[in-house]
Amino acid sequence: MRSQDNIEESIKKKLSFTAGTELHDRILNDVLNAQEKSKKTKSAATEPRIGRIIMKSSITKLAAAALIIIAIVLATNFMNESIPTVSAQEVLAQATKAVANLRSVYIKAQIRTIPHDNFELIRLDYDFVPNEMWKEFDGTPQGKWRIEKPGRIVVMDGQSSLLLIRPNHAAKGTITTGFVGWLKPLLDVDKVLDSEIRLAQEQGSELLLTHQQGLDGKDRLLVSIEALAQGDFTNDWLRNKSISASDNLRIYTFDAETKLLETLEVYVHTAGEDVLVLQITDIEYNLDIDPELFSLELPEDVIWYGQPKELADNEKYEQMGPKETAQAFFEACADENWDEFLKFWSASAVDQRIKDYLGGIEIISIGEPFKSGRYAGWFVPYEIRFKNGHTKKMNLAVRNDNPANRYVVDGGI
Amino acid sequence: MIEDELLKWRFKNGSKDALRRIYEKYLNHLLTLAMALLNDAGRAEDVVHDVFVSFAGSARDFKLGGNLKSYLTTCVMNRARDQIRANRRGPIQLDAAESASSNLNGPDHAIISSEESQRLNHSIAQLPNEQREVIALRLKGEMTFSQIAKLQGVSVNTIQGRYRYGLNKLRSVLNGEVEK
Repeated sequence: MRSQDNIEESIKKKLSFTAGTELHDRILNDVLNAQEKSKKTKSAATEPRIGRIIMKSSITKLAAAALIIIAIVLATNFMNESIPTVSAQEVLAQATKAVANLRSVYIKAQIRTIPHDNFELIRLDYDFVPNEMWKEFDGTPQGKWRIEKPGRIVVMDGQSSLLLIRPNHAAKGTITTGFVGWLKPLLDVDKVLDSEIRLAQEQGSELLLTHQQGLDGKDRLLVSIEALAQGDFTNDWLRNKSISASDNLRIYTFDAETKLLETLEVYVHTAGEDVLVLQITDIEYNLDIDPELFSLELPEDVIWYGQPKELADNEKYEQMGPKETAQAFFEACADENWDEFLKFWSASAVDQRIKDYLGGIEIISIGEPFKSGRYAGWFVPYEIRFKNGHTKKMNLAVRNDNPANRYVVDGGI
Repeated sequence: MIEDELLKWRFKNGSKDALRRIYEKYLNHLLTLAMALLNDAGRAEDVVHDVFVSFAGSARDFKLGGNLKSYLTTCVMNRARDQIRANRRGPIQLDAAESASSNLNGPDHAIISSEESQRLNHSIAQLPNEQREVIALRLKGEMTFSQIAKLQGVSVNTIQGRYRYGLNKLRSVLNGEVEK
């Protein structure tokens, strides 16, 4: 005689039907066709999504400022009438209390970027590069922190920040200068939930707070943010080159009890697919961090980047627009006139590798400057021919929001 | 769970990959559930096909709240009920099932299962509709009694009773087979 338990177990484990290949493919084909058909139908519709309607309405924005309730869902209680609700305000209050005794955090993440380029840069076709971050919460607003990837390190020792671009370029920053763009708010793990909710309000992003019970039985708070690219993309040069310049989905999970961040995945939406560009692979709290991590030893031949200083003939350069600046910069390279080069390149010296790379180039064309995204400066299209005969087409980034009020090269070499 | 949340968001935003992943993840689960409810390979195929096709076209109106697996399970149950109503009969009984499920493990391998699985399914098919539904949703849909109660519009006690009676009858059926 079978016991009830055995029957239950038999049904759970042994009752199983599997689709054969032909059936699997046939249904899948119909399913994908139905999705395509549905997309075509939808493309005619211009109705914004409900979440955006909610956040874009001025009345609801006011309401949201008082009580930020967005959407709440309980997966484990799908059909249950007693669905508990969670407001962002409630979550924030709990989170602030929970992280009050936080001493330190260590985060390891992988990002689609270039090892030596700026921390904010992403490209959907780049390989993942490991990034490590440490922060010690010492009671000051800035704390001490370090962010590192293979080609670039930034440390904040509590007084000032220091950037090293390997092997020998460095820059000094103040308490507020970060050099790390989007990663800094992430490292402020005690405020990340707060800043994301506020950002969602400001930018009209869709934000969803849900409680989930993981397979390990642990309750988690899941925060999903559907954000639109920020800035003007009339020219889309900067689109998808940083997280904030992309339509993206950010999914955070927090321990529901401690409210500490556990995971983060960031996906960039493209026409064809969603691409994972950032993922936290490890996060640990309250480790003892070696104080040495918050200092940097610089090489003897360090070349300093900094704000451009006023020149004796500064007025001449102030009058140059973005295009004239690009022309003069490349002419200095062509002539190997490195003193002139430094008037457009805000560094203490010119590295020999840059001289070898740009010296003696030939200018093929300089195009019309354009703006893209939220970049404060301009992009100037150019084409040059190197001494070895190879050519390069690119956009030179120049900006003049500096004390000397003249355009300097900011990237795009 | 986290993966499902992500899949829902991506699916809602038109991701083909997300839809494909949802399909791969839940196809056999839903097929098994449909078979438990209908005991008919052809009708089970139709139900699962229709559920996925309808789901694929629903991205815009799809509500992110709720559990994806529970949502799809409920869709299968509702469509299976429609099938039963349309045919004015329950799942195909043991004798008829011999021909109705003849494509199981047949040359085209439309639906593949073990003999043990087919035998269990034929036994479940002999239960009254309400009991069969509770057992299928509880043991294969992994739903709670309160969720099933809500679906069937009755009290949790009634559902627990149906479950208990269903298991007792199933035990008799299976023991009868053993004694043969």
